[in-house]
Amino acid sequence: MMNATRWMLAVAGLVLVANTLASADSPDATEIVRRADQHLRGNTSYTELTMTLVRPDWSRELSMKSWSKGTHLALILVTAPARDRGTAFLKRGNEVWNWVPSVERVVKIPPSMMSQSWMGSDFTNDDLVHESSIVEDYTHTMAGDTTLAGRACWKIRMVPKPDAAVVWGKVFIWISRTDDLELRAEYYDEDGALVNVMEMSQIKELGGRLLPTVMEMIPQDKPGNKTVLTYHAARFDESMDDAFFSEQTMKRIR
Amino acid sequence: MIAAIAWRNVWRNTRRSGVLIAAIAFGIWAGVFEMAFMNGMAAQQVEGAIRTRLSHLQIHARGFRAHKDVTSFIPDGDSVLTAVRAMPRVESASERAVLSAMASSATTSRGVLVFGIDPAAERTVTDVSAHIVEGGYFPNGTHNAAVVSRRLMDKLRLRLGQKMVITGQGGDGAISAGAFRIVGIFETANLTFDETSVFVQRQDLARDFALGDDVHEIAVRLRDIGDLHAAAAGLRRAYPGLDVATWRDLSPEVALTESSTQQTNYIFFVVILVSLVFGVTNTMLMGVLERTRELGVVIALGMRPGPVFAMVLIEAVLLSLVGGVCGIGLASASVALAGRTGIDLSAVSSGLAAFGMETVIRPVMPPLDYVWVVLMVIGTAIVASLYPGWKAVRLDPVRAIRSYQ
Amino acid sequence: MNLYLSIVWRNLWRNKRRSLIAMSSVVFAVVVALATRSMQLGFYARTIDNVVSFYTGYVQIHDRGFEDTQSLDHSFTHADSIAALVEKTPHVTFAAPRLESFALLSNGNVTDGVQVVGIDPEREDRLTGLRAKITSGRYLEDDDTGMLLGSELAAHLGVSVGDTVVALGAGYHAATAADRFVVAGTVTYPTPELNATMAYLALPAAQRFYAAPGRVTSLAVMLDDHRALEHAQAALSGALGPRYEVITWKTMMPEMVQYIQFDNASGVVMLLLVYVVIGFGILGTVLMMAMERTREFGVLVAVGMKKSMLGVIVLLESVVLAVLGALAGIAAGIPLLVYLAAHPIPLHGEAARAIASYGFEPVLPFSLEPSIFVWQTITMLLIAMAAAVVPLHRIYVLDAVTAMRRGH
Repeated sequence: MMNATRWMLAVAGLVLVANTLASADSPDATEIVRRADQHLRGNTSYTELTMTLVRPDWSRELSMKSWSKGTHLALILVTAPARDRGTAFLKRGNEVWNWVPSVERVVKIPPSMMSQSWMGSDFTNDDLVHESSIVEDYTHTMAGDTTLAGRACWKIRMVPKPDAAVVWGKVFIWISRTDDLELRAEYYDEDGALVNVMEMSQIKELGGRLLPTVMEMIPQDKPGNKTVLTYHAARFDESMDDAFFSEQTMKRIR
Repeated sequence: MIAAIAWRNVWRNTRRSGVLIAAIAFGIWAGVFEMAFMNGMAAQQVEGAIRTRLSHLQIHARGFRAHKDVTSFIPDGDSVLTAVRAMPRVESASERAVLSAMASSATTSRGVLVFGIDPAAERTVTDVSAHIVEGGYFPNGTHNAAVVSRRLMDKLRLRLGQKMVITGQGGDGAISAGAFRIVGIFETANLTFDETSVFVQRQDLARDFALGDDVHEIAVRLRDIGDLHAAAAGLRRAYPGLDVATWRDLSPEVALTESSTQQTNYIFFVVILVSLVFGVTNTMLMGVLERTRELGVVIALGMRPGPVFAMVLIEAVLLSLVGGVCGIGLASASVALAGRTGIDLSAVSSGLAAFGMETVIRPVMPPLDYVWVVLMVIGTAIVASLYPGWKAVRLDPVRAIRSYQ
Repeated sequence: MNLYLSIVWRNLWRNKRRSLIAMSSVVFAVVVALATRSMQLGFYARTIDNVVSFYTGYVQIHDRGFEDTQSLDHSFTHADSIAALVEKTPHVTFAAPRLESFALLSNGNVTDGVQVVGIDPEREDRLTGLRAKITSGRYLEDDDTGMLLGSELAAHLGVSVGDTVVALGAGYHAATAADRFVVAGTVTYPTPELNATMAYLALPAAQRFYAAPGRVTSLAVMLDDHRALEHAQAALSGALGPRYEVITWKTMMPEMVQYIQFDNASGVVMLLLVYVVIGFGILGTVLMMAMERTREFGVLVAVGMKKSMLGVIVLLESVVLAVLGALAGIAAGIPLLVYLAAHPIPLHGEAARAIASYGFEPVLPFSLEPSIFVWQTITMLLIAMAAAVVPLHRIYVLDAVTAMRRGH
């Protein structure tokens, strides 16, 4: 239900790639969003991360490795805990396959399970595949300047285009003026009520780039629930063949 | 002759006969009216279910009804539709693409069936268009419009004019999504149908989900529901590879209520008749005992037991018939009246609505059933007069004549 | 008063035939009313029993929060001790534990998202009659590792008894749930949708699959009496404390509540009509008696009896007859209803077939609820006594001379 492509890419380690070409005095909203988004296109990434599911009375950590290429190809491998080790997800375009080593089977996630939670998180299976572009699917307007985590930010209001398959009424995103990092996003329904908040923090250099290394997804209607992604390692722009994103890879990769 | 005597006997004690006739008339009226009411309710429910969601017949590819596989298209659906429409028993038919999908709002999502319809054709088969409570049924030129029930809107926390995103597997196997804006809100009597059905225009659904011109479902409305089985058999012969389902196959629950209504009707009527048996027996017994002397005389004069028995029996039948005919007259008049005005049961409407019924019930009674009622009344009278008749036959004329009173 | 009673008694004995006819009308009325109401309440109770036996049970016990999330994370442990506690509650017959969640079932290229439910095979069968719905293969054992599939689901997956399906899902606390299961049997419900979406495992197998050892999501509770529902709910809530949610079938199936209420309401209308028809019968009898006795009344008034005293005597006669009739009616009704309760009337025809296809017995059951006897008897007594107003009126308007002249 959140901006899905970006979630998938977030897991895949490409939340936002530092843009050193940012210019502080060109407040064209679409252009700013495009710049923040542009680096995702055509690049490859490899990341190691931990997904923490926080619930009012328990929490759980899953360690993962992920590979991605552009927005269409991604592969996620669960490395811990032991029970789930080796479980892998492959996304090619709009489809997701799941490899489960204990039963040695690849299963394509059927449409009927799209609304089910992905690995028990605040994301649904649908979030893995639902393609929408923060550039193409929205119209953007400037909504002011603020400071977030000590960084001067553009606050940009994004309204979905009429035919875009986007559930939101509007989205606000905060993009840092100097390095084009997306630091916060708020998702509203058509009545203007806040539904989800995404917060990025712990900006550090990882894989040679400046990145927010912690991303929290906080559903507003479930107090005490959130999903936190923490990045530990990253490598960017290594060459990856499209053929890498295959069922065979999913089965053998460790 | 005996009938004439019996007829005269009926009117010898007008008050007593009057009370019994009134009792019978009332009982028959009550029985018939209740039956008509139950019939009306069942008919309403069946007709309502057929009109809003089932239609008389539906055609699918085999297996589609259970699994809703997006690729289970009706092969060459357009030509099937054309052929079906040309069939003499068929009044109208419409084709639909049906997508098992997820409807999402910003806050939540639900599994639904999305029907891609051609609004003009659909209006001739089902009447969701008549159940619009807000907005319209695909006003001209609306693009990516959806018509959704009030209940689903509440579940998704959406309002008229807002959008929902439909996600599902398209005809090409890929998972796709489309945004649809709610242009109309409907409300039918069926909770489940309301909560799980979304209507959109077929070209919009086809475009977003790569369905091309293919369809999954052809809904058929017949000129006469009496032709149901003949029409279904005809279609099955014409399309042996397809799944042709009648409304009974589509909704065994509705069929179940229909038949259990009949059962309840019979039971109720039997209870009424049993209650009447006693009144008739009692009255006839009184009559026989009251006329002990007179009966003694005619028996002494040589009247055979047969005619004596027949006299009592015919009197009972005549009494009951007078009462029965009065009751039926009253009943048919009140059924006709209530059938025209309808009986509003809105006090229990949410229950009725949940079971697929409208709140205004129009009682109906098939004319042939009145004949059955008359026959049953005669039968009741005969049963009721057995004991008094036997009493009369068994009279000892000598003691009877001597008896006082 | 004793004087009155002895006069009344003598009067009734003097004309035994007339008294018997009058009494028999009350006897009959009581028996018909008893039978009608007993049938209605029996049917009502049976309908509720059928409805709750379809899946929900009368009451379900969940962890608080399960209702909203339907998530395994809101499951609970110690199902056995909780079940034992539940089963000690008055009116509870037994509780069937379930572990319910969604999972993917897959064979070859076909994958379906379905409800995979862990059950205690014996208790589940007692609750829903699942064993009888087996159409191929066998039912589950307590420690079974096999899976039951809805028949349409099995057909769609292209598996039959003995084949293996792969199941995938999210387990407790977001663990991965993945396993292979051998198809032990297939079950067939009357509705194709259920057949395409249900799968069952024995509880231990489901707990292993969902990584939820010792956990269940719900206890479905059966009661011995549907009228004890609210009572049992309150008792269970009290016994289990706020951690658990105790919800009734009425909350789970609001449409059915309304439907059954409506059904009961139409039954009451039917009962009222029966009362009126019976009332007419009694009234007729009383009226005839009063007319028959016009001369007798006339004589009594002529020899100086006060009309008020005559009225009291006649009223007492009616009361005695009504009470005797009612008692005799109960005496006749009890064995009749006991017999009918033990031997329900079988239904025939299309309705019976339709009912049977839902796995329910197509019979017309009778209820032996004690309140039926109390209320129906009281109602009939009141009707009989109301009818006694007729002779009173006759006495009131009586003119001794004309009355005596009237002969038959």
